[in-house]
Amino acid sequence: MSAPVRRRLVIDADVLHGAGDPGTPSASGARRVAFLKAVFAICHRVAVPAELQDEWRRHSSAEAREWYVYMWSMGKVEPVVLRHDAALRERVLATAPTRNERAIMAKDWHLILAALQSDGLIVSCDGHARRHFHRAATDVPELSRLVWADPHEDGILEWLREGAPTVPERCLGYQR
Amino acid sequence: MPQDVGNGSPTNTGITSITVEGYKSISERRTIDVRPLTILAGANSSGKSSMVQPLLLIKQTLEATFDPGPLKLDGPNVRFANAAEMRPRGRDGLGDSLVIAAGSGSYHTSIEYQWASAGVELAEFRSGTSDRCVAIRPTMDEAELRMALAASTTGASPRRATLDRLQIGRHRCVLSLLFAVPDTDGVFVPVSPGPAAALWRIVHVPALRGNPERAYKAAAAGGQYPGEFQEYFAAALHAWQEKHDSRLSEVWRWASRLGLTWKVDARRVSDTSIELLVGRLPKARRGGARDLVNIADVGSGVSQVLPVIVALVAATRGDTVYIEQPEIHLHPRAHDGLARLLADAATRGLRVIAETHSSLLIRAIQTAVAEGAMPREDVVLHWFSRDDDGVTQVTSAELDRAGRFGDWPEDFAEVQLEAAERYVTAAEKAMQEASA
Repeated sequence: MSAPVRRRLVIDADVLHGAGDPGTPSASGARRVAFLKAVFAICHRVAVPAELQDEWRRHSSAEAREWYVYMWSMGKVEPVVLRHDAALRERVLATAPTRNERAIMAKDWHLILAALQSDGLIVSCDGHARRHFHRAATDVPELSRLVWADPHEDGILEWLREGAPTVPERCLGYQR
Repeated sequence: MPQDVGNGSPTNTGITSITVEGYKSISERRTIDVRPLTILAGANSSGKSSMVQPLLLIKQTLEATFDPGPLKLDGPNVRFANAAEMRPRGRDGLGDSLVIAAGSGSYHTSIEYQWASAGVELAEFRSGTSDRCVAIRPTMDEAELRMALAASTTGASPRRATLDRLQIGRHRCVLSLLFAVPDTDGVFVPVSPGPAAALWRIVHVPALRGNPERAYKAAAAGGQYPGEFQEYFAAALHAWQEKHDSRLSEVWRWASRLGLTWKVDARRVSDTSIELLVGRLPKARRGGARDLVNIADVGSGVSQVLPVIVALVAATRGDTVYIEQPEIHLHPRAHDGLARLLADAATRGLRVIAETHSSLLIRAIQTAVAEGAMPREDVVLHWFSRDDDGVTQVTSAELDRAGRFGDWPEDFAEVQLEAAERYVTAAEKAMQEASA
């Protein structure tokens, strides 16, 4: 049997925030815990820039904090020092039609940058930001191969077990 | 005592390795490193205790007040009615032999037993350093004895003596080559190495430490502690109090740090008993010097953890302190202090072997390493599990400078996340049903 593929995921603070708290079908705490558990069990790693680590500290549920400690103890947390790219950032943010959308994209820019500097995998529950970056990917090809996954999606745990591959339908550049 | 039957190792490093084969679920040979702080963790019945119990069998055999034969099965530390109860059922049926070995620095002692129709028989005693080790079997013939003698360089050296002055001696579980001193009436001198000194310097704090007592038995509180340590802790406290020994305040300091009590007062109530009074509050306060109650009148945590604290304060360099479940009856908040107590003892030169089910305790040890309170090299973690045939497997890990244990297969995270997932799934379902 071949060894499982282990990849570095960039996990948004909103996944850790709601993990463990009873929620709704569309924002399920159980789904988020199941996702984190699978990341741990499958031995994927997380790429964490300082900006994200700070958000994790402030917003994680008790269960997510435990998960993070175990991930850290087992050496599955890889700190990432972001190399900022002002030109790329401006090209992406310039695709936003409104000031509000630009602010949403700017808030999550560190996820994009961390994914670009690791294995290109983002996990987030933020559907708004995903839509905006999806639209931006049509003008900014660097974004098109980035995966944006949501822990609530069907088949997400199978995707993790299969090694979190960069499948087209999960990429920001995917067009139906 | 062992000194009479061989030249025990001079080392005071304590036990540095344990090897067991043919004991309960450890049907195949397993060796673990013992560092100043050694953590044994894993599921129930995975073999954690079975890794150390064989050494306790040796301890109680050496400490028995009579000759119990080569292995005392029913003693204060380990209790069997029949040897068959500890005989493993391995992959290939019942094992043939039981091997118990301990290293102490470069010095090693290994004892092998064969299963017999009744109990066990001593098959081989091996002791010495890696380059000078003597193996003695009760069945050795003259030629084999001569070879064993040639391998021995310790003690008196009767190399030119005739072999008729040599004989094999047995003291409990120890075999030695004895040389009959000429012109004496049956005076024998051991000429082979004895068991590692560390073997009879094991301080055992068991998981079941007895109920809190209104009065504890008086006992000698010297440097050696035959049997289980909880028999001595009250006497040790009383002796330190009488002698104004600073170790008493050390005990107070740790008891307070663990949130138990700020003071322990040991009073002799008769020639045979000692009463322990403890401060009602965890911290001292003005006018509270007499605010003491009997240890039986406070929570179980105090009476269960006090033997752990006293054992670690009483033990000295070269002692191996084996503590089963140090955390029992302790509130999680105290686990950090407990880890610091273990770390402090380890850095004083003790060998502390702690068997635990507490992920919090392990995390606090990780923190102590990450904060630089103890060197990472001083800690080793052993995870015990059983394979599909029920055979114990051991996976060991060291901590790095950041306190991480890497790819160590502990299952605390899995258990905790599974519990969280089950709870939240049930809670979400209940909330949906309520709102429907």
